[in-house]
Amino acid sequence: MVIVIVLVALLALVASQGAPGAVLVVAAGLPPEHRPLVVRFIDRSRRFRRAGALAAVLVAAAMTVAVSAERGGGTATGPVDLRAFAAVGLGGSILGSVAAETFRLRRPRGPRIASLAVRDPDAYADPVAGRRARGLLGLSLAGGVASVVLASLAWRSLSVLGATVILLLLRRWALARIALRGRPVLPAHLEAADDRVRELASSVGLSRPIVTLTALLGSMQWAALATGPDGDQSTLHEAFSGVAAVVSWALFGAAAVWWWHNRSFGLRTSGAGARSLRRVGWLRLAAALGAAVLLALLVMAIRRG
Amino acid sequence: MLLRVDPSLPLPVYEQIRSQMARLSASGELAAGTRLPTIRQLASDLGLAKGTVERAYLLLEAEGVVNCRGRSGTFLAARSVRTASEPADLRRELDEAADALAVMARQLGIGDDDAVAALRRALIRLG
Repeated sequence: MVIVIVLVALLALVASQGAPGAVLVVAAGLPPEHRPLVVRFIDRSRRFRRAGALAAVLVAAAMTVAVSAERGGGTATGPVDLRAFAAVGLGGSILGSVAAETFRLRRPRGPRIASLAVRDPDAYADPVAGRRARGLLGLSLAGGVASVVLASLAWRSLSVLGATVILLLLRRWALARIALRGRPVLPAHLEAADDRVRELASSVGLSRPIVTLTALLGSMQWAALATGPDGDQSTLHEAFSGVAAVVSWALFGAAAVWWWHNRSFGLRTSGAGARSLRRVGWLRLAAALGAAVLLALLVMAIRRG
Repeated sequence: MLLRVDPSLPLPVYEQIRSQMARLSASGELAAGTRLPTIRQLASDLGLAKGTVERAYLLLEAEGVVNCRGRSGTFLAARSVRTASEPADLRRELDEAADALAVMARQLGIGDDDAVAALRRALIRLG
């Protein structure tokens, strides 16, 4: 079962890859002098993200198989939390992104020159992602409080809240690191290209995926609140579970939409070749949806025996 | 405004940073109140250890060239002629700086006349 999920997840991952960097920057109408640098950034970031996601999913699958086999004494055929798998994949891709951004430039042997112009650690902060992060933290806090009040899976809810706080701190650290990363003295046009790459790395490279993962974790937290512990039939919990389910699905939907938009690194494709690029994008979406439907059918077939 | 260091020179890198910043301040090329880059930024731009830049900043702060205002950053102090309580202290500091210049000139194989000419040019630049 887990192996099937991993295979379909890999298929969905490949199908959901955005357009190649070189095509994307032309379709997005970036200035020609920015393109080589942005293409290198996109290709490098994608390579690291993909490697991180694959590694994380494979490790999680192997661990699930091992744990299930140990508990069941045989092959793993029990239900698998797909949201947890998606969160693991996204977490791996974020770690890949962080690894891609924490490189160091080689130190030159001769004289070194630096500008005395001050760079702001928040220079490339993404205000949209910042607002979303604050909202999600609020929701996660509310979920934590609700779980304590209802005495419903409090440890799980609070651990999600802890993970959310850690993710948002990781976001702050990574943003400052990208902004203050060493920069040689460059001509003005290359400095502008470097600014654009740092902006992309900060927002679509890290901030937005982290916010997406936070939303996914929030969705899991609220889903657990909606279900509640086994046998809990209190009136208070019944009244709350409907609201919790709605919040959970809304968060899951938001995470899916943000993840989908992030594939193209937030670049608006309106330049040359944008139409064919969108057509290819829809085809890839259809392939990803097909993979998801196939997965659902397989799950149903296996459950029916 | 650019800062240039060369780790292959005999003069320690922190001293190169300190002397250039002191010169930029004394000549007015950098206005008083100008915010300087953080230690972390300058160290990563120059490919140096943070401690090296920190040492230069600490020396500059001790000399009253810069003001460190905690999380707000490091700012260039108002340009002022330093006064010491004892004229002998001033002379001793000047002799130490002259010694450093003489050692540097010898290590670079620069003749006495050229070293003195370099000092004159530096004094003229300061006005």
